[in-house]
Amino acid sequence: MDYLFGIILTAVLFASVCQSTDILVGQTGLLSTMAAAFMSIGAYATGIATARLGLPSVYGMILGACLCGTLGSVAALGYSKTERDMFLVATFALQLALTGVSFNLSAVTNGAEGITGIAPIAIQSPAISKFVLFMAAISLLFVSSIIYRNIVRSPLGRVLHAIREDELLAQTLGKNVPFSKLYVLSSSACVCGAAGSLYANYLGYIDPTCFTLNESVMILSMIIIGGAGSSWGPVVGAAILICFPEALRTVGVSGPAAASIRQILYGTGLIACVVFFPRGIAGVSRKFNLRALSTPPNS
Amino acid sequence: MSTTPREMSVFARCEEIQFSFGNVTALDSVSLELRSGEISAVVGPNGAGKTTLIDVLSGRLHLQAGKIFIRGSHIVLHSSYGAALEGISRTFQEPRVVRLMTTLDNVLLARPRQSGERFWNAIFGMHVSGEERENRTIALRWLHFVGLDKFANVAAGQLSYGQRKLLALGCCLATDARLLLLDEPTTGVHPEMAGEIMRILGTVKEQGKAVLIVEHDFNVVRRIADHVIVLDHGRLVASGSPQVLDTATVKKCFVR
Repeated sequence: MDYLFGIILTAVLFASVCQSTDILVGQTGLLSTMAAAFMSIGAYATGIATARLGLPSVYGMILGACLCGTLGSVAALGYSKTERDMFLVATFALQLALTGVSFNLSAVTNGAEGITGIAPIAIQSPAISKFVLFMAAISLLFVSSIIYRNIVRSPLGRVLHAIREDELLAQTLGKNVPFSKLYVLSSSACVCGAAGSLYANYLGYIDPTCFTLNESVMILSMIIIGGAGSSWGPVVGAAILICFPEALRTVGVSGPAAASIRQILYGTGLIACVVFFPRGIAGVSRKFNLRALSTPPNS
Repeated sequence: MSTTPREMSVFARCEEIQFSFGNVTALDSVSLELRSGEISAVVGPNGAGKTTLIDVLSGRLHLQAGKIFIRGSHIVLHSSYGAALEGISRTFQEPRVVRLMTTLDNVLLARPRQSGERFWNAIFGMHVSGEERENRTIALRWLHFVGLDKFANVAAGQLSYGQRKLLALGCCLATDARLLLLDEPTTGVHPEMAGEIMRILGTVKEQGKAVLIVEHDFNVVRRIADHVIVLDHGRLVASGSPQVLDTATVKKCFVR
C-alpha cells in the first residue's frame, strides 16, 4: 500500500511540475532543463525549515515556493535576451550550478550527506500525514492546471504563442517579451518549488542526488511524450514515465540488469515517440479527433 | 516665429542618422522628415540602406550616430517594443504572422495595452472579458478593412502569400500606431491585390497616419507616394515629390 501511495504521489507531483514547465516548453517554446533545480530549492527550503529550524512543513513549502519564484524572476531577467537553443543551454547551466551548490555549500545543505529528519506534513499520525500530503499534492496539481488553463486562454497566452513562433514579431507588435517570459518562468518555478517541498516531505530526507540534471531531462521527456502545448498531455506523460519503470518490476525484470533494461526501454520509447509521434500522446489524440470530425457520419 | 501646418504635421524627424555593419556603411548621415497624413517612399538600388532605415526607425537596430525626434521630442529607441510604445509599427519584406494562430487572433494579438497580458489579470480574469469583447470587435473591423474578414477563423499559415501581406498590414494597423513602416508592401503579390493594398494605404493616409514604404516598383511609388526619398550606398541622393524619380541623378543610381 505504501509502495502504491509512493508511486501515485510521485506521479501527481511530477504531473504538476510537468504542467507548469509546459507553459515554458509547449506554450512559449522555451526548452527548459531546470525544473528539478527549482524542485531542489523547494525541497532544501523545507528540509532546512523543518529539520534545522523546527518550523512546520507548510512554512518550508511557502519559503521554497517564494525562493523559487524570486530565483525564477532573476533567471528570467538574466535570460531575457536568450532564445531557444541559448535558453536551453542557460537552463542547463543553472541546473548544474544549483546541483554544484547543493553539493558544496555544506554549511546550508549539509553537502553530499544531505538533510535528514524532515518532519512529516502532519505530525499526529502517519496515516493523517499521508492523507494531508496527498491532498496537498492534488491541490497543487489543481492550482497548476488552473494557472495553465487561464494563461493559455488569456491575451497573455496569445503573447506566449507569438513568442514561441516569432519573438521579433511579438516585440514589433508592442508585446513586452521579457516580462511575459518572467511571468511564466516565475510561476512555473513556484509550482516546481512547492512540488519539491512536498516531495521532500514524502521522502523525509533530501540530498543533492535527488534533483539532478537527470530529473530535469526526465521532466522534459514527460512533457514531450505526453505532448507539449497540451493541458493534459504532460500529466499523462508524467503518469507514464513514473509508472512505466515500476510496471517493469512486475514483469520479472529484477536484479542488477533491471536498471539497465529500464534505461534502454526508456531511451527507445523516447526515440520512438519523437520519431513517430512528434506531438506526443496529445498530438495523436488531436489527430484522431480531427479525423473523426472530418469523416461524414454516413460514410 | 510661426509654424506652418506642414511643419506641425511632422511625426518623425531623423537628423544625420548613421548605421554601419562593420566596415559597410548602410546609412550615412541621413536626414529626413515623415509627416502625418503623407506617404513617403524610400527607393534605391539593392544595398542602398532602405531596409536598414526601417530597422533603425523601428528600434530593431540601434542608431550609431544622429538623432530621432518623434512629435518633436528626442527619443532613443532601444528595442522594437520601445518603438511600438512610441506609436511606430512595421511590416517585414517577408510577411511575418503567427502561422498557428487564426487570422483573427493575429490581429487581436496586435491590439495595444491589453490588461489580460499581465500575469494576475490573466490568472484571475480581471478586466479581461469586457476588454476582450471590445478588442474582438475592433480586430474584426480591421480584418474587414483589409478584406480578410472571411478568413477570420482560418489559421494564418493557410493564407496565401498576398493574404499574409494583408494580414501583416492589418496587424500593423491594429496596433493603433501613428507611423507605419512597410517593407515592400506590394512586392510578390498579384497585381489585383497590389491595387487593393494601394487603396488601403490611401485610406490609411487619409486617417492621418504617417506611412513610410520601401518600394522597388516606380509605378507604385508614382501612384501613391506624396514624398520620395532616394538612397544610394546609405546616402540620401535626392528627396521631394515623385517627379524626383525622373531626374538624371536618380536615374544614374539605378543604371550601374
